[in-house]
Amino acid sequence: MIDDALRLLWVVAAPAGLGVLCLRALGVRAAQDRLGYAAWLWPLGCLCLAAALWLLLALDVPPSLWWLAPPLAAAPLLPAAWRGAPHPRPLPVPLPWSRFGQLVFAALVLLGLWLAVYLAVAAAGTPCVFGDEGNLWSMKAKALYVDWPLGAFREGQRAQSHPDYPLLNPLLQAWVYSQFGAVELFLNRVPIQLCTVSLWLATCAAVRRLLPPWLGALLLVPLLLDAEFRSACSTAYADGMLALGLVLALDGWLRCRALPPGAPAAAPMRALLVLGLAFALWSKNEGALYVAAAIGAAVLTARLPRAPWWPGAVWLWPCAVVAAQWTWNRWFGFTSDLLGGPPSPGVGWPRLFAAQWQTHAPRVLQAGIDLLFSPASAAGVLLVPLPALLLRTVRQEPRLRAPALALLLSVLGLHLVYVGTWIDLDLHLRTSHARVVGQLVPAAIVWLAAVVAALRAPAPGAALSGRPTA
Amino acid sequence: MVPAVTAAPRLARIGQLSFAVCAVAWSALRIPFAAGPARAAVEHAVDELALVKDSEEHRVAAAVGLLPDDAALLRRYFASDGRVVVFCASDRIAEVLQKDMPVRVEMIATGVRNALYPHPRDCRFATTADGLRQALDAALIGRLLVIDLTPTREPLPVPGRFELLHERGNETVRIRFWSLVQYP
Repeated sequence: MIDDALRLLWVVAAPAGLGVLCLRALGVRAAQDRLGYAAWLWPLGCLCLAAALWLLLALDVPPSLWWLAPPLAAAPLLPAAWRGAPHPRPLPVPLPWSRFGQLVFAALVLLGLWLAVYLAVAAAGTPCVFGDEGNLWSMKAKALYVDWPLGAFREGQRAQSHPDYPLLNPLLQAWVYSQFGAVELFLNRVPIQLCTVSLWLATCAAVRRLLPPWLGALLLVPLLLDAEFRSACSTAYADGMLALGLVLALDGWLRCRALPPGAPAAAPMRALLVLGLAFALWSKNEGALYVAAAIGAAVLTARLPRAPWWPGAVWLWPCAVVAAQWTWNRWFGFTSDLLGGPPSPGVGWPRLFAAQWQTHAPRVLQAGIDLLFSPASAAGVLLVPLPALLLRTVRQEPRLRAPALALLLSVLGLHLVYVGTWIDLDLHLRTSHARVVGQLVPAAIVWLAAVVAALRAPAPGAALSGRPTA
Repeated sequence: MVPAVTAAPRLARIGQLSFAVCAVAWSALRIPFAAGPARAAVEHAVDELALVKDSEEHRVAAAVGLLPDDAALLRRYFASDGRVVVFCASDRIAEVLQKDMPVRVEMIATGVRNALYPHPRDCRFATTADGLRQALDAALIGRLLVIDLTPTREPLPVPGRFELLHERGNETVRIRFWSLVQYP
């Protein structure tokens, strides 16, 4: 029992410690934004750990030696973390609030934290063997842990519904297996569930910077009550991880664009943006759709960046993630079912899209309307960018209009995927639609907070900048 | 001209603030509607939390239907590789259960495979004699096990010889493990 508890402590402490190192190397200190710091360290640590695990896997290092992954990931971070930031890098920090306001908001954050942890612990009553969390994510993790590097891995994965899916989630589960020395049917969810805890904290931190507590609470409570958020708390799906990556990226975008060009604080926030994108891209394939939508939106709406956009080597992260995952899939011959790979009947999405447009488009549209207007779903917030783009404040502010358009393009893109699905449409919609749309909801809440902050202030630029930096 | 110049920004500001209020209200409108399901989910989690105190084997048994003894037997049987076929003859169960049977059997097969992985990796399911026949393979003699959930006591409805390794249950719920010994 104590042995298991110590192992679990190590399983959690190692990525958390890597996150602390990573933030220190970026020049971010806890005192600048405690909530943000607590939210960011877990995903950044997971990124570093998973990258090191992947390297060990590629080098055929047996799972009994995967404890080497944390020191391996820490090695390149240590020099920068040891030196610390070359100069102080104050962040755009939260608005000054009254004591009472701080207490109200702290109570809300703690309530969300309690709910997330409570649901995660309760989920341990059921083994992680059903649905996509069992069939897809944990099976991929089991294959990495048990079958690698045997031929069984390739064949086993080909029988899966999504052999091409990114490996961040399975690598984190495989990390648990390796440290416990066996396939764990319950504790394997822990690293993924902690991503949902981080999602809650990151969303709170982003909203807190922009709005007074009562307004922030009004925007955050619907997320807390959302069924998809609750589901992410109790399962090992990658949707919460993807949502976390998007929130990090948007928060990083809003914070770094709020600073004067060349400000020292902009570099870590650009790093947060870039690492958030890497996290999203490595979590699930929809991440590629959202990043494409964001790039499209930036090209369509934003002028060229006014600040130097090279935040150091962190830009290599999303590029490396995409390149490595692509190489992996090519090496094993894994093809997306959208491109006709197994288990689809071999017809790619474009042909199915054209063939099914007339029959599927109205049903997909109806499902989208039903979800977005559903009174019990927080997905309704995704409708707000549409009218918001009519406002001059939003249209004239690249910080707001680019994410607005990116969100709209993402929602549109998601629904177009369903039109060209090879799976029975009703089944596909019933099993994934709300969950997948829910990936965008936390980011939409952060964006809405930024819009409300801009609309409340006489001068929107000042509102988005948060409190003047120290 | 002067009033027109000052009125326009004021109107724009009113419009902006109205939008902000409407957007927040639109988001907050969900709170009363979502509170009920959220409360129900938390109450459901209370029941789940009670299960956490059980041993891992018992939690697996409650979810998948494999008792610890069953799982141990299967692990022994599948020392390396092989195939497990979860089977329930839909024509031998009550009519009211027949419609959902394929989904239930597939779900049980999924759970069995995930709970036992990698012993074995290969897991299939069938609800008809024809489906079961397709899942059998002469090359897997001694390494193919049928988990038969059919509640009746009849043998498997396919040609070939099977050894009954394990049986438990009654006329309502029965589980039998058949090992493939000979396949024509």
